[in-house]
Amino acid sequence: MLFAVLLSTMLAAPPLERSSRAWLAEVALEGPLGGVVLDMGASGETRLVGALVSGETRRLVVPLPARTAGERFTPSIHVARLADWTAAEQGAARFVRWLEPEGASIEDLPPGLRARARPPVARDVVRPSVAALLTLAALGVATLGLAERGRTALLAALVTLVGTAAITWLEPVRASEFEAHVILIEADSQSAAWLEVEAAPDRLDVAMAIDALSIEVWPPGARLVWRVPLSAAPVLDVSGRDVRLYRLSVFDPGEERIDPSHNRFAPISQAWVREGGEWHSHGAWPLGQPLPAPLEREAEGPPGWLASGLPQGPSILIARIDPQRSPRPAGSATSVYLRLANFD
Amino acid sequence: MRWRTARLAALWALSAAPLAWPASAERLADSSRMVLAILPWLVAAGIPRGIPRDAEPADRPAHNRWTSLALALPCAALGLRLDVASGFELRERLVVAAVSVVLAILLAVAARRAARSPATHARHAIAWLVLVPGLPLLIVALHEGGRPLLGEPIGVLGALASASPLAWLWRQIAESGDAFGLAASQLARVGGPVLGCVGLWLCSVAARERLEAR
Repeated sequence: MLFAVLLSTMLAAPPLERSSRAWLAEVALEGPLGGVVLDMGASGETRLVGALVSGETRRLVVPLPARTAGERFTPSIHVARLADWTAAEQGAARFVRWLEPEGASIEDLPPGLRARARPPVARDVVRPSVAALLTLAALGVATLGLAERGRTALLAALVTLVGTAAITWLEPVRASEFEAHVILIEADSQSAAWLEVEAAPDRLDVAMAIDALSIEVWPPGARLVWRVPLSAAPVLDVSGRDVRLYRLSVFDPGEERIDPSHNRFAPISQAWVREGGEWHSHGAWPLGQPLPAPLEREAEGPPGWLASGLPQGPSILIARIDPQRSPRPAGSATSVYLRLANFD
Repeated sequence: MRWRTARLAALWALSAAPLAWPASAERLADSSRMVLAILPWLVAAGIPRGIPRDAEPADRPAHNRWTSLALALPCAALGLRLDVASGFELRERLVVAAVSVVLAILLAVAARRAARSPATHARHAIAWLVLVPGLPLLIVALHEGGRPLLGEPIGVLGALASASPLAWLWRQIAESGDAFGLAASQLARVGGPVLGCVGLWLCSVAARERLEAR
């Protein structure tokens, strides 16, 4: 019985968690065409957006959203006709081959860095205020009441105009449980390479070398759509429905390291250090300076999601960096954080 | 409660639901809640009306119209406020709202004129059913169900479906763009639905005149 359970566990599908969703493949295109869809079934699809005219050919390396390495089958290809193209001639797209990942891999990082929890992100939601909803309900009831009693249109118009003005004047509520676009640098002073995690809900622009691309998604099996421009613009985007997307890249900080005696990394707007299990706020830490003394007054601790799931024992630095002054390109990220273990 | 008031209350509830439904803020974050608030009113404006029998008291269409407007306006205004706060262009949304009003008026006039005789009523009802909800729904069905087999449902059917006011408004739910290129692009896009509405209206007028001439 036990053997059967063990066997079935071994034969079961490998877990989908933390597998990259950007498997590179080469495709060959021949115009005229108005776009191509590389369909990977339940995993998602890659859309090549743009047009090729008659006689134009292109060989491209594109990401495909296969969920695991084993799912890298040949995608089904749909070629769209070029808009306003009346001739019978139709372009073609051909899948050439899958490419093996190159460059620094996440697998080369220490397990402690790889295993850290990814940042929780959520989109900024806009909802009407309670006052606006109550006004809307009151207006509806009043208007229907007036209509039922056959009152004059003038009175209804007056009530409506006043109510509509009030609704327009009331500010909507903007709320989000988490930040919408975060870059987190996962670091360890004992590791030669660090990990940069860019997180965003539902859609992520990717403007970087495609061969160093690694994308994770939560929930792991979610359907994803890659959009790759056929123009020279190097910005791709990946999107999904109700998902959190993470772009991972491994980089070598080189000399731009950080220790309590010297900040060579970036101007830090807020630093927190965990020592002996206690978090202490150190305030701003300018570039090139030693770590300032802990603030004496009671200060706010680091965000809960940053302070949780960290290794017990070693001292930890959590730092908030102004996105405009980050040494790494921050794009449209609203916050950049550094999380450094073995900070001593 | 009279039937007319109950119908208006149902329309108002449909219009207010995308604004008041608690999960809508997240689910519809990329969608125009103003368009969703307007959609039920646009559909209702053109629904073929029953022909009043002589024994029945005359309906008060003017009163109905103003009540509908009084109910629709606050919902659309709240939707617009939420759209602008979510990143939609104000001017672009205002153009969409204005075009929707024009389409609703055209559809309502066509429906009212067609309701004056059984012949025009039947023709208008068929034309409305095919053009306004029919073709867009057919395109959606072909797109969702038939795409793997038939490919994208384009061509004559797609062109006809784009002339539906409902299809036009549905496209505005997620579309947002540059406010200035808008006048020309919206006019070009609106051309189909407006022609569709005018066609419905002309059909009803022509049929009525022929009936009166007999």
